[in-house]
Amino acid sequence: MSNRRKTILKVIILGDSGVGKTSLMQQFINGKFSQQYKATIGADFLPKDMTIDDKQVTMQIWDTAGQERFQSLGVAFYRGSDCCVLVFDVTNTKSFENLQSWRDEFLIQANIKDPDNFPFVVIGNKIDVEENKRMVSAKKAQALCASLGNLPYFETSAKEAVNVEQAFDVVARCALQQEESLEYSDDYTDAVNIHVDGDNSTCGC
Amino acid sequence: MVHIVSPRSFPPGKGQLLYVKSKVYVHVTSSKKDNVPGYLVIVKPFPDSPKTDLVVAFIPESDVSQDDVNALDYFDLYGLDGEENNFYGNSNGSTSSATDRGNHNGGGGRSNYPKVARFIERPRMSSMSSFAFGLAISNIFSIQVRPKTTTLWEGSVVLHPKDVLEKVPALFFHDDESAGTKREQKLKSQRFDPFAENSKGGLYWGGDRFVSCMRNYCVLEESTLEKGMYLVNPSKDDTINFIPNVLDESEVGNGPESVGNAVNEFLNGAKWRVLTGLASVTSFAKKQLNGMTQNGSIPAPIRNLLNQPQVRVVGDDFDSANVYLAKWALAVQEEAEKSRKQIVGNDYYRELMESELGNETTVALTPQEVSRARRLKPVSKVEWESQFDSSGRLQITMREVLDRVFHGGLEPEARREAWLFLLKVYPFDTSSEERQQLLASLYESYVEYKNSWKGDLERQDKDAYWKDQKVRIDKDVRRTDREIDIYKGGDPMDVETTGNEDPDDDAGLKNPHLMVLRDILFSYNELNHNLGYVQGMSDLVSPLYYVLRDEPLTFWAFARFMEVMERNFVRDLSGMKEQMLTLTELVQFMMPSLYQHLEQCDSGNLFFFFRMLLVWFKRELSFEDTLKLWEILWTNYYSSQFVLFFSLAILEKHSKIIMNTLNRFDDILKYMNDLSGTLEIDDLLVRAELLFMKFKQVVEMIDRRNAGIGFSAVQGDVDSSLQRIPISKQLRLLLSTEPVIQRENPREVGDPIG
Repeated sequence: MSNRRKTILKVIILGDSGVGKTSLMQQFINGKFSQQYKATIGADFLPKDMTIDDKQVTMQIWDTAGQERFQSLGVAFYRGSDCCVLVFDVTNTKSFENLQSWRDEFLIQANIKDPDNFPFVVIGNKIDVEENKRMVSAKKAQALCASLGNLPYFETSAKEAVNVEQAFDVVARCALQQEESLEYSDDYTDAVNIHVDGDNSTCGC
Repeated sequence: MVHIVSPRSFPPGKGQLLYVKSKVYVHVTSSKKDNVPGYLVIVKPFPDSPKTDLVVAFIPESDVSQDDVNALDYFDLYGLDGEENNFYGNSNGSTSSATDRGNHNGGGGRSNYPKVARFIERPRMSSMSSFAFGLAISNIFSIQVRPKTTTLWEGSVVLHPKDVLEKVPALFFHDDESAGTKREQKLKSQRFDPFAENSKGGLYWGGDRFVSCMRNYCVLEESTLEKGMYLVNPSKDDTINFIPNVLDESEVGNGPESVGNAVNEFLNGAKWRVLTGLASVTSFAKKQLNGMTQNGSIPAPIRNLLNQPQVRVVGDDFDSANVYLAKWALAVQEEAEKSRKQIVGNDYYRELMESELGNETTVALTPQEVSRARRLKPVSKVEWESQFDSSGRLQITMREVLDRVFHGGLEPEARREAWLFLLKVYPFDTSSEERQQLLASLYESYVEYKNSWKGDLERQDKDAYWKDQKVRIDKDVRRTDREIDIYKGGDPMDVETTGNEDPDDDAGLKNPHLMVLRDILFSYNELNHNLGYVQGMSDLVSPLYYVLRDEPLTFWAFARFMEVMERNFVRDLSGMKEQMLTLTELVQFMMPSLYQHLEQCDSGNLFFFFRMLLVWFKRELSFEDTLKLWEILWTNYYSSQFVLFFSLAILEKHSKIIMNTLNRFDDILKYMNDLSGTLEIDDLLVRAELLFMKFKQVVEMIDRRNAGIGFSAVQGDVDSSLQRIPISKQLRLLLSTEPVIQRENPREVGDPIG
């Protein structure tokens, strides 16, 4: 088992339409922001190679459509995810209120075996706006994250590249941890089987 | 009393004649001077030859020695009973069934061998220098008989050898030159006999006796699938399968002297020898056609003819050679499969398709196919307008218009008017005056409509759904096609905001065109309140407005477009799922090995096509190409779901790379996503058209095959290893040009909007 392939970390970004999911992903992967992103349809997917504590990983970031209607596609997208990023717009109260339902929906669709320990990261985006337009305070957001099981919380500006890197670094670590924890659980059996063709001895050693 | 004449010994090197017909021709080219006359014979090669070893042979006159000419001509004239009798043992001239059916089992004491023994040199089985050929009965799979008709002056017979790679030319019976035929004709007219063979009403011709004579030596079973196709000593499997259609009915109807018919005759005469030789068992390819025409093994006249442009593009005259070849290749594959006796569902598809479409589908096209699926130059405004008479009525058929648009698309200047027809805002059968009236009423109703929702302030305040939708539309319009000139920036009149607009600026939209889009989408949200606005619709309306540049017209055009697209947006996504599933089936059906690979890579659901199908490739193509693809799709020329064939074309074009280099789900997904902006629409449209043609052919072929199985089932003679190949409802629906309409269900009770 020494020649294991590079670890792939699958990350899903969820949140209401227009909160900046695509912008966050683009900022993180390409370091760019554009005014001209289109509404995401279905799902987009971008990979990024990273090093976490000397470990080479490939992050697979899945950007999804915000409209609820397209969530029933989730099954195809969510399966095998290692971390889920929940995004809201700090100028949009409703997008904040919807966070919990995004989380619940994800747990159901992705068929997560151990929901209590699945890693979520919450991001409040668009902190670049004027203070008077901000509708969701940091305090309020932190309180919600605490109540949902001490989820890590970041405030970002995809437009001005504030805190995006830091947020995704935590996302990557959470995902890696999740991925490694799965190695010892039943969920990983299938993946292991791929590598034991022609080698029917025990795979534990 | 019949005397059995059974010579104990043959003259050395000779065989006994059992049947002769003189003046049988191979039509080598379309020119009569190239016709090769000869004798069609059935010969018993050795004294102890069993019936299955009897030889059916064509002997060109030029190959026959003088001794043999005498024997052949005598037998041709008088038949097996000699001069004193009529023909072939039918001495009483009344009931012919005994000899017609033949005592295949040899149970009775009766022999069908002639009383008069005539011998000729044993015919050659093949010849490099002439068209002579011979086939043992055991090597003949079937006989195709096309009798003389009032329009087809020369009846013909084609022998299909069991070895599918071995081909022999069709044989034409020139009755008015054949002494034997003329004599028999005369005898028949002297002795009217309603019970004689061929009492079915057809014209008497030289080939009649051939079939009945063959029946003396083998079992001939006529295919129910194809008239005139006789299986020779069919096995059980043969009976079940029968053999597929290899002939085109269009041959029969043409006048003998027309130019088209000359080509037909050429194809008739030479196809088993040459055209079919163009195709290998594995695929029929352009390069093969080229290769074969340069191949020295083909007789020079045929080679020359094949190279003539009019033959190469024989096209519609003959239901086109490409269709013929395609059918033939399918038939070959089918026969090959049949001989393996294990045709089971997917394996059959798989191997059939592998040979037919293969992985190298790019080269598996004949020039004819390519030429049919050609792209034309776009329709100009002048050309478009020239199709209408002075009253503004269309002068050509709607089908012709759609054909033209399908194959060429429209020039930008022609779009505005043409799109209104394609989107059915204008009916095709209207005059310009009628359209003016229609236009006026459309304007009026839109304005009225828009004012009604704009004025309903109460609902705008209280209705949560309405508010949500308003926000959603607003948000999406701001991020729709902002790179396109008219949608760039804010209000062009407003110097302050130009080029510096923040799409998230709540100060409201300043670009007047985007404001129109928003109003149209609000209006549609009202018009179809069950469905409402759904993400993706802004992508659909933007090109319409870009071309029409008129709010009320765009609204109605969009509403029409949405009638077809509604299935993409229904709440439970069932319409999308259905299309994805159909596409999946289509890939399984047309490119089974690719599908298998995708499945192994966990990509069998093809969901990377979701976005492409949802908004008809708007996100993958340039704006200009999107306009073109859409107007082509709106024609519903081949199929109302041609977008699925366009999708299939993308897979087909990239199948090699996908199969050879991409082995993981995410690799495939990334590859497909990265195709955005690289799709060559004209190339893909040609591929899509060819794929559609092939799809249609395969469906037809399988239908025929299934019908054969059905027939055998009725006969209680079904081999359990044979299964009907089902063609799903979804796949069959792809052949329909009628749009698939799916409406959203009414929104739930308690919903504020009535």
